[in-house]
Amino acid sequence: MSFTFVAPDTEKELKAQLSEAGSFLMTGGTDLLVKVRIGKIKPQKIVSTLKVPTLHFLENKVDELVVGATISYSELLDFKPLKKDLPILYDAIFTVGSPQIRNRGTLTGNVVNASPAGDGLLALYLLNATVEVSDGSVIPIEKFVIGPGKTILPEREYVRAIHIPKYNWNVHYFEKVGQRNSMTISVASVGWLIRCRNGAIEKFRIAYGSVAPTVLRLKEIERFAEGKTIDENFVHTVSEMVKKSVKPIDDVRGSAKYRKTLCANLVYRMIERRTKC
Amino acid sequence: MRVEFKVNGKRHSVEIEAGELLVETLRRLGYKSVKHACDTASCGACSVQLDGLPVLSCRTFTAAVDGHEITTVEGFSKEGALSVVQSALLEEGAVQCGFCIPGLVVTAEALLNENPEPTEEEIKTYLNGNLCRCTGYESQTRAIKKAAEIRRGTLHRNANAQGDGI
Repeated sequence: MSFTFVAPDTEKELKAQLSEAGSFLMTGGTDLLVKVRIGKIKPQKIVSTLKVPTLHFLENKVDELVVGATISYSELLDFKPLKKDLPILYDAIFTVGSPQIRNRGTLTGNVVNASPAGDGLLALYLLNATVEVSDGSVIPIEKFVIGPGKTILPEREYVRAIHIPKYNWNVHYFEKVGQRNSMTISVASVGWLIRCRNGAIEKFRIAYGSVAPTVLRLKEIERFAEGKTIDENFVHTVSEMVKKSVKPIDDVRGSAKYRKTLCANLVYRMIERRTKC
Repeated sequence: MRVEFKVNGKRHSVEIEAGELLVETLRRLGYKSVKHACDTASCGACSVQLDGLPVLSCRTFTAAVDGHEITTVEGFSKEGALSVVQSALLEEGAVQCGFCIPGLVVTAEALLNENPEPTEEEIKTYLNGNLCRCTGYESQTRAIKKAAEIRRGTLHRNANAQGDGI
């Protein structure tokens, strides 16, 4: 394991450091460090973003929250408007690891790490977040992530911030099913957002984690749900549609069959929780 | 590469490998309370405070703490006397094999600094990254609650409790 470690303190220097081959970006390092230690990644240089002050910011605008690249989960959870304005994101990142992990890990790291099990990532998919890259481009999250651990982040560029649009959802729900309550990678996770109008669903968003190569938004179901009222029949139909849409695999955390059934059953939380429009 | 950081108030300047883990450096410097246990970010036995916040030293490069302050469990006992949290753990019988305790104390101290009046639920949530295979957490939760009360001045310690109870 012979590599160098640099921690530039300006974005200009950060970019210069990244221009050398074999350079890997690191913020909290909670994921990268694991990959380096097991030899999955063999860096020549690790470039830490933590000392760049211009990446450490939270900007709370009327219509969106902008989260700088080095803001940790803990800092985000401590940011008072988050729970009120983006409760689904609050609920999702509260399930990440433990306080120790949340003190180091970042939302941007979750995005760039691009795990289909990313808890923060699932909320960002639901909220139609966009990713601000250092070359000036702003890319929708669903386009930015292209597979497990894969993004379209160009080499020698870095993510500056995540932009998260605010919208007045009437219902939000997030649930992560793991083998234990904490410090766990999800077997499956689900989230939905509902906007109601005149007793029926006006807008619906639903996404699953850990059941496909990326987090999965089920857009067919989202379109189907528009105009419907939430009753047993609706939940049953959605559950059947979920079963057909998710594409889980067998792995150490659970079998594909179990995951499919689990995903379908999770929709029934709407009945349990007496979700109504 | 050379890094400088403080451990329990003491300044250290150390020559390290770029890939060296904080837990390795700390143990090399003699802070043996920091346990290198699961090495998979699962158990919390390697927890230390980084600028007052608990982190996993097995998931932190030493290179990344250059210029920062670390606190290990040794930092909480002043002149050989146990901290309120440590005493409460003893009094409530929350220490059996003891392996998880340094990490647990470090995390519990951070909790009480952040939230001086935690509910039982808040204690359990905050400690969910610190595994203990002996106690079942009941005695530890009780101890942290008690420590919180003592620290707030709403409960006075029974001076004899420690000697008689064990």
